[in-house]
Order: sequence, then structure tokens, then C-alpha cells
Amino acid sequence: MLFFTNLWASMISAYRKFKWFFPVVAIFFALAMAGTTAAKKAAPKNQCVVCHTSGAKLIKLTRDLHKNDPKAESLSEGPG
Amino acid sequence: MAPHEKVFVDSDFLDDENHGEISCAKCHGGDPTAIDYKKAHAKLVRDPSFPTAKVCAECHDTAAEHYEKSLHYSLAPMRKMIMQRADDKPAVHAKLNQAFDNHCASCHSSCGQCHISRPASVGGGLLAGHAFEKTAPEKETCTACHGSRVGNEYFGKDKGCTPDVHRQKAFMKCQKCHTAKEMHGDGKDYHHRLDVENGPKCDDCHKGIYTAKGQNKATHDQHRGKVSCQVCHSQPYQNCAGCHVGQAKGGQYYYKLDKHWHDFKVGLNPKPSPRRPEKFVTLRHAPIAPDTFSFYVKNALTNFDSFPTWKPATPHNIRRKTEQNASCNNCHGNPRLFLREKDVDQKYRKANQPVIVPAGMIPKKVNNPPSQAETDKKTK
Repeated sequence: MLFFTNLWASMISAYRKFKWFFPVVAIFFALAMAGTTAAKKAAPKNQCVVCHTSGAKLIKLTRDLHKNDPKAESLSEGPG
Repeated sequence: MAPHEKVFVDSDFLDDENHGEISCAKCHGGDPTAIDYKKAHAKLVRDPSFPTAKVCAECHDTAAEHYEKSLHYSLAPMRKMIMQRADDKPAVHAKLNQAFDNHCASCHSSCGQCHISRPASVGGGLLAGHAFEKTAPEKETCTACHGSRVGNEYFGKDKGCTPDVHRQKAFMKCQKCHTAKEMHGDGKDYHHRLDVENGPKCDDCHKGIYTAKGQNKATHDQHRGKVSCQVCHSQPYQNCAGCHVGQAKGGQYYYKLDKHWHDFKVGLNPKPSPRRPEKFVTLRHAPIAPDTFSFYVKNALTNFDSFPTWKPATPHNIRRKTEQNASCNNCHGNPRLFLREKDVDQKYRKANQPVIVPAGMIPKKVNNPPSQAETDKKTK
């Protein structure tokens, strides 16, 4: 019984001595999490994936790219 | 394929643990951060596996080891054959190389143009949303290029012909015979595709035909080493003649054929080898003419007559029973089946002397040949 009383007393004493440490740890994790989220937002998105996995975007883009192409019937197939 | 379908990437591909985690730019270059289309695609490499396979070889070093000697990449026999027919002058060779690069060399392949997309020569387009296909899909890749002859023969699309028995009864895909080893090259510099040591031979599978229990053993033994398997087992096939290449006013490269036709011709094997020792083989007319390249350089093929224009062929329309093997005398004593002098245009006769069958070499008619019923009975 005496052992547990002494243990409790030493824990209380240690807490009083290092109680400044707990808010520091909390602030560290808060900053780290916020930083990661911000970094993710700030990092440029891979635009290859954004366009090439979207059928709608590709249709719009390829229509724009080919809008001035000659139609098949107006293309020469050569003398052959 | 619509233009957008050709470049659509399935998001499932990004979950591919081997390839999906590699950044796009590592293989293709370009600028993945740019939102503007032109900036994003600046210096983009459409096929990172051509002209070198370095990106693939980082992991697939064995498959890519002999890439540059693979016939699908090098087209070496084709170029060599043209140059051997050509005048020796360096200027002529330079012009022919230019013509070859503009016309013939557009039909090459690469790692990517079998395993990821259709070959560029047939319009390209990703096979399955950029998924890496270990086995190239045959209709999208193999017969997309080898379609007008091999593909049509194999799938039975030629008028009056039935599909190849290997396709119709065994559903065999191209890769069953044409293995990765053959496709990826073995480092040797071949002069003809039929010389490729990893290429298929009928008796790789049909080992038993010469054994005591082999079907039609007597017939197979009698003809062994004398006629190629196709002489008895293939149907008529496509032949082409008189290819001419050129460039239209708009800049498009084109080629045109004088004619193409269906035929079945047995001729002499111009170059018997341990792999192909037979005396008689099926011959297909190649689409070459003395003036094929005259748009680029006149009188370039001064050694035209040094090689036949009828070439040993391996038609892909094999059947167990064919018109010519229905009875002995459908072939024996039947000159129509053989390439005779009169079957060859006057201007091609000299070139084809090594393959033309002289009348005296056409096998004589067999007296009292066994009937089909008797042959079938023996077989059973």
C-alpha cells in the first residue's frame, strides 16, 4: 500500500515539474497536421491524371484540338 | 477509336502497384503541373519505348535485352532485301533508306505498341485505359497490322476459305505459336523471318505424326522433307504485286498496288535450311516491282533479278483436309498447283528461276491411288 502511495506521490511531483511539456506536444501535432493539409493543398495537382481520367474533359479537349482538321472526305489519298 | 478514347486513362490503372505508381512524367516527359494543354505536352514522348526501350528495361531487362534485334522493331530482313536488290551506289542507298523510312518503317512496333497501345501504324490508341497487357490482344495488335493476309486467312475472312483449324477448333491465339521469345528477339541479325530460331514449326506440337501411332503415318513419312506442311494443308491465299510508293502534293506518303489476287502455288524452296529443308514450299508473291521506289530514285533496283518475287510463305489458313490433299492425284500430275514459267510475268521470270518448277519436276500421276475412304480407314 505504501508502495502505491509513494508511486502516486512521485507521479504528481513529476507532472508538476514537466506540466509545460504537454501543451508543447499538443501544439506540435496541431501544427504538423495543419502543415500537411496546407502542403497538400499547395502542391500542384498532377494535371495528366486530372484530364486523362476524365472522359468529358478529353472529349472537350480533343474536339477543340481537331476543330480545324480537314474532314476525311477532303483529304487526298494520293494518286493511288 | 474516337480521339478521346485513344488517350483515356482508366483510374484503375493508377492502382497498378507496378506501373501505376510511377509518375507520368518519368516515362512520358511533359509538364504534369501545367494546366495549359500545350505547356503540359511540351517535349512529351508519346511512346517512351521507341526508339529505345530504356524505360522498360529498367525492370524488364531480360525481355528488353535484344529489343533492337527484334524483327518487329528492326524490320531488318525487309530493309536488307531491298538493299541487296539495289544498285551499289551510296547515293542510291541513301534515297532508298529515305523511302524505306517514309513508307515501310512506319510499320514497326515497340514494347508499348503491343502491351499498352495499338501500334501507331494502325492509328494507335490505348488498349485498355493504359493498363499493361502482359499478352498483347491479337486483334488490337497482331492482326491490326498483319490483317490483310495473315488475319484474314486465320479468321476465315477470305472469300471461299474457312478459318484456320487452329483457330476454329482450338481457339488458339497468335501467341500460342509466336511466343514472347520470338517476338522479343534473340540478339541474332536475321536475313529472313523464316530463319528466326525461336519461330514456330508445325512439329513443335505435332511431334507424333511420324511415330508409329501417328495419323496418316505412311503419307507423312513419304512426304517428309520433300514438301512443307503448308503444301498439303493450306488453302488459297492472298498475293500482291507491283507496290509503288510516293508522296502526294499534300505531303502524305502513299503506296499503291498494281494488283492482288487469291492463289495457291507450290514452288521450289530457294534456300533449303536445317529448319526448312523441304524441296517444295508454298509461294506467295511479294509486293515488289523493279520500279517500286522510282518516285525517290530511278533505276534503283539494278539487282532486282537476284531474288525471286515469289517467296516461301506460311499461309495461316491450315486445314487437315484440303482440296489438294483430298487424293494423291489432286496434286500429283496437276501442274495447275505448281508455279510454272507461264504463271510468271515475262519481266519477273529471270528473278523467279530459282522457284519455278520445271515440267519434269512436277510429281507424276499416281496409278491406283487409295481412295479417301481407304485413307480414312487406315487413319482410324
